[in-house]
Amino acid sequence: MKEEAYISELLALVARLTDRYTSMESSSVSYETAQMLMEAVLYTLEHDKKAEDFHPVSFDVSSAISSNAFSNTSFDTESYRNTLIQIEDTNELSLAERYEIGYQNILDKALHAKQWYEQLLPHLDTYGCQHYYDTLCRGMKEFFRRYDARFQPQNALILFDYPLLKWDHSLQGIDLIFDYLYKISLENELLSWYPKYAVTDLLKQTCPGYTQRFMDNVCELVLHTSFYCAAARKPIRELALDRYEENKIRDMFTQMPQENRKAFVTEFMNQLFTSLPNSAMQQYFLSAVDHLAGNLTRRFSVDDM
Amino acid sequence: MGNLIQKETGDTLLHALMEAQQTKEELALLQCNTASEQFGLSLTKEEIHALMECRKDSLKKYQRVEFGKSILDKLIYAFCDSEFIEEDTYLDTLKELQDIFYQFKNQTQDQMTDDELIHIMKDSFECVCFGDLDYLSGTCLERIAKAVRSGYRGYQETDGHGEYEQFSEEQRWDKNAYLSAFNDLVQ
Repeated sequence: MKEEAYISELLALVARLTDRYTSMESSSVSYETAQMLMEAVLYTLEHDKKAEDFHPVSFDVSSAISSNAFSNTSFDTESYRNTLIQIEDTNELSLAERYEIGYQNILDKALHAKQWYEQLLPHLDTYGCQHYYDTLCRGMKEFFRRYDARFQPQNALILFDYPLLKWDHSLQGIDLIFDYLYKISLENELLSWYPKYAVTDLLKQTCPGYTQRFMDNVCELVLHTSFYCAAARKPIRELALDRYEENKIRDMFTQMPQENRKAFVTEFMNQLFTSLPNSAMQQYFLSAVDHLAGNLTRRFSVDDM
Repeated sequence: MGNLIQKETGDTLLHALMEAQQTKEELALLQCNTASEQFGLSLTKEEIHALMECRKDSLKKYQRVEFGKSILDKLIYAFCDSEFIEEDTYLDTLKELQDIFYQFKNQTQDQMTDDELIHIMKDSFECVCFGDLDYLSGTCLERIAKAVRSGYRGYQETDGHGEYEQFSEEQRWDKNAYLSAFNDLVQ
């Protein structure tokens, strides 16, 4: 489609959406409203593709399905794939047709995300952390109540107070929600391998009053402590080090040249995550190695000072 | 196409669309003369073009966008029967009314529909301001806009008619004062 024709059709779409937004009771809107509606149209047009071709979500549905990442839910993955509209070649369609397809895809995705969330929620453990609970149980419910697939599909509406191990900041709207839920489920699965008492004892030790005051990612704390346990040749799953063992590990690292520290931690993390039982978990946690190793190494550097 | 959503490109594209629509609309606005001529008011093609140019300036000034047709035809139909508009002030009055309209769409945070705002403007222009545009924008509409921003929505039931009186801070027609003065004169 030539650029002028594309722009003309695009602006016609935005004009139609604006009429809908104002219920045709206002001839003009503010720049901010026009910008919001333009972004809504562009976001919706991005969603007109076949399910497998869908991007820019980093969440690979096919991979997740094949790796049984949803194995502890009854999320109907076939139904999800089939309800997304299959178009052989969207290039031959008008922008208006592509827009309606994209809108239906967004609606379907939101519906499936909600169903998946409702099935996942009983299996999620927030370990008593209030802001983890608030994000997952209150914030996410609020998102599904208020998500506006027509006028603000690009807006995820909620504050993600509980941080993920690895964010994809390029995502918006329902894609961001799907990605967030997916990664939370993977982190929770990893945490479930540790005895619950070990995780909560670690939280209490790290942050007295942790239920109200711990604001970081639980998985990151657990993985850092796993590393310390491995370095001290203690059982990783117990997540327990005494003060003497901690100081010994710290001394070992402060004596190591700074450029070697991150490489050492990275090597450990890579070995740990490569042994994970499914490809979805491997893919996610390996992508977070740089972040984990970087943060752990920075802690040693601070201790040096 | 990701750049489309950047403000500068967005401005250029939006105003390019407005240029294309303008010629079509100027022809449509000439039709409004059929109604306004009954009241001795009409606009030439050149005057309509000048109004549309003012519309562009006003929209830019108040950071607003009109994708479809302008508000001008509604303003013309609402105000053409005004007691306070003459042929020689018609164009300038419409320019100002248009500017005031966009200003108060912003000031009322888009809470009012176009019709509600126009009804308020017309009622105030005729019955309170007696054709004074400065009083319309500087006093009447300012007070109403302030009330709307504070949560007032009474105009939704009246469609904007007869709204100003409750916000007036000046004493106007007082029957008792009139009778007292009349009696003094008679005596």
